Amino acid sequence: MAAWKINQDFHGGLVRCLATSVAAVAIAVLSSQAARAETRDFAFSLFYPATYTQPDNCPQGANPRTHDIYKNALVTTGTPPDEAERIIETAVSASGSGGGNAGFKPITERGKFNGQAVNAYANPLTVPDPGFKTAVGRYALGFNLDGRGAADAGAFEHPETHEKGIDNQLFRVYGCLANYQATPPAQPNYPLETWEMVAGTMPAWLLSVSAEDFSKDGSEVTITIDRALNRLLRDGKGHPRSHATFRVDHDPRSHNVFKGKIENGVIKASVPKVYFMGDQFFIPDFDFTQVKLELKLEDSGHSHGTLGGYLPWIGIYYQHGANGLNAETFRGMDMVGLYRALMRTADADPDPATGQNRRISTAWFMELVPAFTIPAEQANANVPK
Amino acid sequence: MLLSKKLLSGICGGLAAALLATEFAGAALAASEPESTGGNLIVRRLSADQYTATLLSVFGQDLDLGGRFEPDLRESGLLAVGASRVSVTSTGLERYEATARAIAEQVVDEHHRATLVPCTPANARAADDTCASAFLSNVGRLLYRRSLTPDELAVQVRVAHTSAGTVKSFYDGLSISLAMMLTSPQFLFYRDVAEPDPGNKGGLRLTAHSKASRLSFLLWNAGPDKELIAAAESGVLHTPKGLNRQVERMMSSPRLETGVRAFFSDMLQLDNFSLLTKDTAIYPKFTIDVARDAREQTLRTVVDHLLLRDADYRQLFTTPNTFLTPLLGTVYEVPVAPVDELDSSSAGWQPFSFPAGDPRAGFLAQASFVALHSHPGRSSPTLRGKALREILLCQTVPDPPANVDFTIVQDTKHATYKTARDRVTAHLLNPVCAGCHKLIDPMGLGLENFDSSGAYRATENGVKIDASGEINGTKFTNAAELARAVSATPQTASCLVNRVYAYGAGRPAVQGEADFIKHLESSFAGDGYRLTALLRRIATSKAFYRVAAPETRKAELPTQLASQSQETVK
Amino acid sequence: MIINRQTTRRRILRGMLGGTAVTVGLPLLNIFLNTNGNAFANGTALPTCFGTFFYGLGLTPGQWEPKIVGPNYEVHSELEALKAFKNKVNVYSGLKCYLDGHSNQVHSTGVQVTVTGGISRGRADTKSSIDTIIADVVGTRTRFRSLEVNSMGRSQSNSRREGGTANPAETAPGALYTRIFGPEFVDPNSANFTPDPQTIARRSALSGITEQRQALITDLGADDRTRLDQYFTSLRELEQQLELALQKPAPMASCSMPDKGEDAPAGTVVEDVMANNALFSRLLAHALACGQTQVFNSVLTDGASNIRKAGSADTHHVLTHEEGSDESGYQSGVSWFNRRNIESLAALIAALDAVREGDRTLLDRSLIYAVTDTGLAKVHSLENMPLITVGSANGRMKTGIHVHAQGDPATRVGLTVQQAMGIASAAWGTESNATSKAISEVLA
Repeated sequence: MAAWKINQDFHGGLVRCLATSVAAVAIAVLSSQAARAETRDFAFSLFYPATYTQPDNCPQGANPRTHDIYKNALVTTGTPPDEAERIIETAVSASGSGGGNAGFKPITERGKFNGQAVNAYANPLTVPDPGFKTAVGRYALGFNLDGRGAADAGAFEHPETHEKGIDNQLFRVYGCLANYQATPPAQPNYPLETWEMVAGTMPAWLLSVSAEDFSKDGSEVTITIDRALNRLLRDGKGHPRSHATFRVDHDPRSHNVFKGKIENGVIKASVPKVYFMGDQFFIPDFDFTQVKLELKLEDSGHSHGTLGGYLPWIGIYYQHGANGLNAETFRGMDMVGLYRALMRTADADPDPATGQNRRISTAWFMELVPAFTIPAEQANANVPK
Repeated sequence: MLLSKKLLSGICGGLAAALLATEFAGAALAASEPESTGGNLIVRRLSADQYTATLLSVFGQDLDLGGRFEPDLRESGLLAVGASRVSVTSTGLERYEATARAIAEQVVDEHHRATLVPCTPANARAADDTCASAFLSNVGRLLYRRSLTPDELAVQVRVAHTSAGTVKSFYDGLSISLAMMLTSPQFLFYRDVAEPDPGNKGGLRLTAHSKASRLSFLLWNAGPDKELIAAAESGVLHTPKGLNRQVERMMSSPRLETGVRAFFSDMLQLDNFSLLTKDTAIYPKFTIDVARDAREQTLRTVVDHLLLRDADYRQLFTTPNTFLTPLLGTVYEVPVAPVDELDSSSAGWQPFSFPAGDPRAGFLAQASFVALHSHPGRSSPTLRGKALREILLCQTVPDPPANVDFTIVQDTKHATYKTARDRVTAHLLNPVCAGCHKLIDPMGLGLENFDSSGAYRATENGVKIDASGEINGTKFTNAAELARAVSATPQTASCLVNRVYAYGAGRPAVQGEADFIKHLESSFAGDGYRLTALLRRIATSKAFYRVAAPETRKAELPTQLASQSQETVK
Repeated sequence: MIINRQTTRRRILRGMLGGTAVTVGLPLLNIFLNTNGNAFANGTALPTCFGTFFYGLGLTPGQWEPKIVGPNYEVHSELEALKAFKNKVNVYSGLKCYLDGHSNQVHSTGVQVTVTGGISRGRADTKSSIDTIIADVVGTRTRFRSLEVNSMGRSQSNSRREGGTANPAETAPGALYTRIFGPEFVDPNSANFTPDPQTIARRSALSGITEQRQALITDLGADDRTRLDQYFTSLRELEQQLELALQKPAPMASCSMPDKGEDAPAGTVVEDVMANNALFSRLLAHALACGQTQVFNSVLTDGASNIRKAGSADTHHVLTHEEGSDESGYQSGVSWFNRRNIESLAALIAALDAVREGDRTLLDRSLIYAVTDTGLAKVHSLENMPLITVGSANGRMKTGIHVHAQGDPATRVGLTVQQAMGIASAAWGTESNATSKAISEVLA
């Protein structure tokens, strides 16, 4: 661990620093502290659901796109096909010419409750199940979260390790949407778009790992996940800048500390719960349970890995349903279908009263860039004129 | 003079001789100011910064000055010297006139006229010569750095008068007359005027007005203010007491910072940031805003070190103290947290101290040096060594011959030559190149731990970088030791003295000023190498305002070793 | 008084090279310009025109950027339609819009940056758009300060003044025809000429400086006198420019009345939008040729463009989000619309280039700045914004060049455009989008 002095006249605190060439310099200078564990700090530079698209995932074909979503929505709620086409043409034409979205009312308010038309996105169960297609197939990326392994009939197999019982039902839900088709290293469209939208404005997520010796297999590591007060910076290529400095938010809701181990050069950890605040354009709260994490530290100083756990599926629905017409128009997601698919596919945390599962297994890829972190309260310097 | 002739030959043997010759320059400590001849009278074109600073001081800070100006020319290491060689082109004049009109319109517009125009016309839709004359003579005195002659004022008032008639508005007419003044040569050029020097029989000195301008551009990089013009008009500026008083007043003004920034921008050639590009594929972090911050980092460091701390100039090369933004922090790979947590971008300068022994301490390690003197896609020991010699030690390095094969030097992925040291060493097998490179590269190699973007690196292509070298016989093993060697070498301080003098005078010192320069060099040492002391000595000297007698002017060859211009070498 | 009335190119060059005065940059005197008697009839250059062209949803990375940087670049894929005009087109790649922590107001932030130089914090904070900055300088003497058109039939334009008042766009070609060429149209070649009082006053002010020459050069050394004389030569050139502006302008030989044409229906169907764009383009070309305006703004589509094929709800915007892509991000349906957008730009170019003025065309004395709202629309990227300029602005821009400026703010192009149009802007933009670095390789 290297300690940095930012002009002690103005600052009092210490700054955590990653071990790169910079730290090497600092360690040489501050050799009295060399015995302490090394800490490497990172900022999340990308975070998206793990997909592993295979040709046999959707034998019935992909979920329909905009026009057919509109038409299904109307026809399955009683509008004759010709009339449905007319409504769509009018709505699209008016909206496209600046006339607003009023023409979409028969679509957005396709729910029926006590004989009244109600908003389908807020009341998805007031619309008949449109039959959302979910993925089948053998493989998915992620973790065996519940430990049931091969006994878990609905689970997948890991395509590389061939471990059985991989719990990633969110991949099943998203698997037949055009926007989520990707096999690593390709990345799915819509999650990238979401990240692009939030990364420049939402406070960055931070991850730190500490170990006595990163090169020693079996070493215990301490992992910390926090949220920053400031956001990512970008470089000339548009990628998140490495070696930016972040203030750590004190909010205990986004503060997680847990232990892990280095196995075959990979940091692995299991922890009952990880929670960090998200963003209104993303999932508002990432409330993971039965969490597993794998992290690989790269020679370049960057890092990448996977975070798996169960999330409340209602938050995932909220990400899309909060702006339902847009999701149906631009994401190829029938909102009612998505809601029902999440409900059906959810695989953990049954409601004691109804038995309905409230959480769904997920796995997320994360990419991390080296960063510096300092405590939120560390005073700023008075800038001399 | 012998040395000049050697330099004229354009070979590096001359350079070596020059190195030796400067050794004894600062040796003798002279107590009182030696006699000095002064140099030629010159006419300088206002620089863009001088134009802006002058107008801001005359009309206030809230004007939008916009404006694009003619490119400046650097001679003898300084734009301030090139300013006495340039004129105004046709496109340049078009821009000056357009800028002048935009500014003049603001000065008389409804937001500003109450404060900036001292009177109200009898009729806003017609001419008012009394009011126009009051305004134009007031403002003209500041713009022309002296009172207008009766003829000049008459023309300005006449233009305001006829224009007011043509455009049916007093204020628009006034604005046209003001724009004319801002476009006129009396404003755009400042000119030395000489008069007999009563204290030096048969000799000449600058007139009080020319003296005021020279002083004001040296310290503030702008024309004289009302008080200084008044001191010139009353003749007080010609008395030692009156001069001292003005110098003290000006040096305690916040505008001194503007002047010091302008000098170092010029000497360190920071204007070249506007042309600097880096290959983003190789250095993605080096964006246009990083370049902007890097320039500012150096200027803030200079102001803090030399003005606020009033510290030894030579320590600028070793000081661990600087100022950084979060963006610069990402380039230097040190923690700089944003001041405003919601805004991580470059806003928010913060003082920063590198730990003792850190190779990134000191000016040489700043992007203003290592990135500015590199190629877009690779570092350059040669460019850095050349810049070190020319900019900081005031030596002259000839340009390479035209027909050199640079293939090896440019191949950063060379199978055999992994590091820049390997590549330039291979290049030296060419004996034509070796002569000069032996003098340039060993200095530059000391900075090889900094890549072209200014980031620290321990290795290149997997091979540990050897940053050892030698400067003027002093060996070093890394950038920090190089910095200490540069700091200690006598040329460093003497170069600054020569540059400040040339900057103020608008020309390098001449033969007849050699004793005075030596005197300045030794008193600079005696004053603890403080820039403020040097400025004060120059500004209060007699020599700075002396003018060479006409018959001796033409024969002068510049003696100043350091600032031989490139043209003379060729 | 001595005024250099007989300045020749040769004499100036000789003076510069042989004399001791050093002048930075060759002076751009009128005599250096083309004087073949066509575009410069009567010695007066026909005025320089400026237009913006906006289309939504950017272009696909990899499908438009030429591989060759500099002149003689290759045109391919989505820029195919520009091939015929390649030598008059500059393409700028690698430029970006900085967010500085502002949220990406998708489909509008990119336009704000490229058109107004920065991101506004709300309507009141909006800066003037580039066309109004230019129109305020070049458009003050024409019948219309600027003309705005929208090919989707919406009144929205990207032209706005500080504080956010947007200039409404003409929504139908027929209406634009009537506005320009209706009963109020006066043939510029038959109209009376009234010299601009402001120019008269400026000229007399410059003469006031010239009068003082003798007093100013007295006592100067030979070198400094040469430098002052250079100044006075430049001053004389400027006076000559103003004198020309005070004479009745050269006849606009290529001014003619256009056919009215028939409007296509307003709306989102791509064929209709393109048809209206073609009509608008032709009317704008005639308006410029007849000196009715020097500035125009053409909006082809909205940012989140809803153009679509007739009978389909898959708008261009929908496809950017919905359509699957190959690994490079290529979406074939999106790319189809991107090509239509560039064809529409080509239609505008063709309309200006079709107006012959001697051995040149109206396009040669124009500068079109074509912008869009995103880089890769699929992710609303503000990286690698495709920017295009067309025309040489009466010789002030070099053309036929691909500029690659990775990571630099997109505002560099806007600043360059302003400088080419003769605006005295040294810098443009706000926050990280501020720049004082014009793209010197394209400025003539």
